[in-house]
Amino acid sequence: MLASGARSLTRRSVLRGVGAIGAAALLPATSACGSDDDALTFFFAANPEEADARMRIVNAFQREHPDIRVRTILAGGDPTQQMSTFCAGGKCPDVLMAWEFNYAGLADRGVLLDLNTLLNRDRRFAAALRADSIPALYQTFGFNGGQYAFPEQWSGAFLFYNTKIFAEAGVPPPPGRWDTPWTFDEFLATAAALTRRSGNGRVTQWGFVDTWSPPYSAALFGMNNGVPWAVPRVNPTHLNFDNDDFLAGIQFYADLSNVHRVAPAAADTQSISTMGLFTGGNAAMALGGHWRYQTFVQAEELDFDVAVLPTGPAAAARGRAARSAIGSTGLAIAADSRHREQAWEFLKFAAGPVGQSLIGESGLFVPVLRSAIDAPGFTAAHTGIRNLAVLTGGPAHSEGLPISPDWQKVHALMDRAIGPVLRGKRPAATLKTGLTPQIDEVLATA
Amino acid sequence: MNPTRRRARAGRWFIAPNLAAVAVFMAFPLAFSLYMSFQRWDLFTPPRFVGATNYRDLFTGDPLFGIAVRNTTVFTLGTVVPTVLISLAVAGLLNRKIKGIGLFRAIAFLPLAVSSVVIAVVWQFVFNTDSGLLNIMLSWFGIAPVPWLTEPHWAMVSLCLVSIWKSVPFATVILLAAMQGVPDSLHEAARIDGAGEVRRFMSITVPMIRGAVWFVVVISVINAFQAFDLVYVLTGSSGGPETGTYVLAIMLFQQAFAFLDFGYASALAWVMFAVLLALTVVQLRLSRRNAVNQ
Amino acid sequence: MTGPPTRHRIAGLLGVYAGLGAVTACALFPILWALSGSLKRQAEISQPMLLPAHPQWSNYVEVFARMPFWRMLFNTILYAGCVTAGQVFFCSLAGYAFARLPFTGRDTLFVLYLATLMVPLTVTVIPQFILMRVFGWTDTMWAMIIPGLLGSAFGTYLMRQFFATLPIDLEEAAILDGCSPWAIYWRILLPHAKPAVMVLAVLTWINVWNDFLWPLLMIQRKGIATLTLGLVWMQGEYVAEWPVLMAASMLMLAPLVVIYAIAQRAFVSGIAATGFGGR
Repeated sequence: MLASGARSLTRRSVLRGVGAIGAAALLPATSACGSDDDALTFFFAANPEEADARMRIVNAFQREHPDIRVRTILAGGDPTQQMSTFCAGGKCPDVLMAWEFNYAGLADRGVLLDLNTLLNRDRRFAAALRADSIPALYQTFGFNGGQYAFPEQWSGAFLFYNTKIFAEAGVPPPPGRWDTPWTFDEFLATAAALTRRSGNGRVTQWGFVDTWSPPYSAALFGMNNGVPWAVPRVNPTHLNFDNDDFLAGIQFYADLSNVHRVAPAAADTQSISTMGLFTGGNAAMALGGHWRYQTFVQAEELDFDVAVLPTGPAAAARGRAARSAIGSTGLAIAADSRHREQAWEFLKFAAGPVGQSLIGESGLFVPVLRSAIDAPGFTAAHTGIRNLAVLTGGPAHSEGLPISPDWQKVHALMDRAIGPVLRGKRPAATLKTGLTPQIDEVLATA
Repeated sequence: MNPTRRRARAGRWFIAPNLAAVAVFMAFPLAFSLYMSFQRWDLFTPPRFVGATNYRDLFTGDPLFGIAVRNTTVFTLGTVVPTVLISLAVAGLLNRKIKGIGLFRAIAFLPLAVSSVVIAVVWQFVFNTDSGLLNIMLSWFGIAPVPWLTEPHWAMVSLCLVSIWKSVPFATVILLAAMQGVPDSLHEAARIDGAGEVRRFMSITVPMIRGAVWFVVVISVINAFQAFDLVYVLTGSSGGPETGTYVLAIMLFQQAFAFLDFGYASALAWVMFAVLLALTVVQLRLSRRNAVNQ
Repeated sequence: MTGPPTRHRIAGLLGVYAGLGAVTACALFPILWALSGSLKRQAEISQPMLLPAHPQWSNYVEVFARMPFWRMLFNTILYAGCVTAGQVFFCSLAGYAFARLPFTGRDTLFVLYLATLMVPLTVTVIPQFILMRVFGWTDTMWAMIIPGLLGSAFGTYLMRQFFATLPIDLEEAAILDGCSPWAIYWRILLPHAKPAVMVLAVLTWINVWNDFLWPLLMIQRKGIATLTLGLVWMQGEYVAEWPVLMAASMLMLAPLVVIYAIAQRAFVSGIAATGFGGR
């Protein structure tokens, strides 16, 4: 038994050893196969429909610059945490997608390159960019005197509405211009009129669904009641969660699902997402940004248009127009990138006139350069949309999130405090005493 | 060279690779993380020495720490207690020589091989509010759908349920092995005396495997205390709806890799280590006492 | 105790089988539900039937279209295989040394080894992350293989305990003959260590296969990703597309079920003996 046992074991260990050696020999081969270590890495987040369109932009860039190879890294899950982890691990992607709410933390730590250094060498491009940009968007990515990303697209947040449902119910469609908004009450009445229930009380058609992120959507209604998130916007020390008008907007949003029941509660939307409700024709209005456009366009039998958000009484009293969220993302370059020049070429392409007009034509995003917004290609990409002014006027009527390096912590606190409010367990007024001092403490240590 | 010296030299060579790995990937990280816990470091700017500030902030200034401790305690108790009770019963059922017992055992232990990630994804589907199995079955009894994963308290319940489902096979394996070590003569004697099945189980089997039960309790507590994979995939990277499942391991991950506060996260890790160490010492003491008693 | 079975005993036996059936049902129902979900259309998922009228095998095809499944399977096997091979070899070697070879400081060193067993993953993960950054191994295969390749304290502990139980006279003859320690290890002791080696191999394999946190921190490229990471990425990208997600889960489950079926005895006895696992 000893002999056979020894033999079989020897055979197995030899096999294992061979396997390990073989694998080790394969290793450099396999990593060489995938070794585009010379490629420009580009990190971005996109839903499946967006990803297709974005690859078109990337491919167009590679056609123009055949010597530069681009390797895309699609974010899976939480893009902010992935960016932090990748960069902390020493392998920061060369070009990164930057969001308003997460770039400041990385910029503050020197992870992102200050693009002013590159702009100073390329005066012609810099001048052209400045002339064509929309100031509110460009300044969104300026922090502590440096420019850490170029805005690449405006998504904003506005209303999509199902034209067929409105027509069949005989309800007048919502307004399509930011400076002639409708009121909270008109909005509520419309939503209530378009909510249908079946015999056993289950809702078959919702008046309003939210395809964005509830705490942020709630704050958007607060903003549309005449109060911005924070003053000043960059590096604030205080957020307006203790402002009664701001809280009134949040309460209005929360009441939509809890009191008036024209919008589904979070639990109702788990198995079929809110987008699914809208694309399936089961919702009259949907709040979302332009990133939803591709999904809705590709939905069969969905006729939709866009509209502006309603304003609350406090805003109406001050005669303010409706506001969208900025919802802009940009492109940044990693400070320790070894492909700085190539990354710069990519940025100039994507955020400059060439790429922006491509973006406009693709219908993927709303471009951020005026020339691209006004170009006929953009209009052609949105043939079904009659209220194009919602999109073209959106960037100018946007108000942004506060820019703070500690936004991650603020977000965690917000999520915890606003959740019960949105579920109807607590009134929005509790945010004044609970959330506000916590956020103040976090922002004070910044 | 005399044989002893040759053997000693061989010994040093034999342990060298393994020792190197343990030193580099275990001992050094241990020391370095202690060092880091006294710094403020985001891995991009140079570290800054802050003394015991991280520890002080943890216990006095951080509301999230209190939430994490509370959630972890609830989760640990909510997992370990039912796990031990259920696995005692299951091990008792499996501790027989009836036909087909091998197959039953194989199926009962199957979850052991499955990764927490797959378990979490599968259970997400089971817990789904509209189309999940549980709510469908509840609707047969006329009970309204339960927001298993969207409401903070229910999210914790759901997490505990999945954790119990995952831990029972593990505990059962250990308890079953211990039960099989209980001599049949004891059972025979009790049966002759007329003791029923359940009575025999409670009065003979359970006390005899007390050591294994304690072992299971402590190991389960240690595992539950550090649970990460399951929580992350089931309820998300920020600790579930309104931090309902925000446990210590999630807090550590978030502080380090989302907030980039590695020093603070290291301090948290050492606090967790201290607690786990205390628990292990307790287990050693208890098992020694049990061994002496037996 | 022989004799005609009484009604009491039959009832008792039925009760036991019922109990066992309940246990089996509890263990299997989530997996069966996921399996049935993987064959349904999106609109059918809320219907309680186990097998839909038209099983949508296309969901499984869709999984392969959405993620590089074969590549990830290959990666996972590669990492698990390399680490398992390395663990078995280096830990048994060190285990033998600790058990039988007389070098100075042997016992103190072993006590220190034991001490490291109590260190939880949470303490070491951040410095290990930093080490990978320093070595430049982030987002490479090395980060997945090297840290485990030379063995661990646990593996050495396992093997040492086992070797200590082997009778001394196995080696005695060889020592008297003048065999080198290597020959003794390779030709005599290792063949006898089959049960412990099997246990260590299976435990290590399953542990590396199911690992999630480390790939989450280390891997950026799909080309070197593991199956667990791929599933979580898919979960994040295709939210609420349950049929395809369930199909992906089933595909990931399959290899492990096969391994479990083959190596069940070693796996279970390993857990019973060491108390390792269940994480």
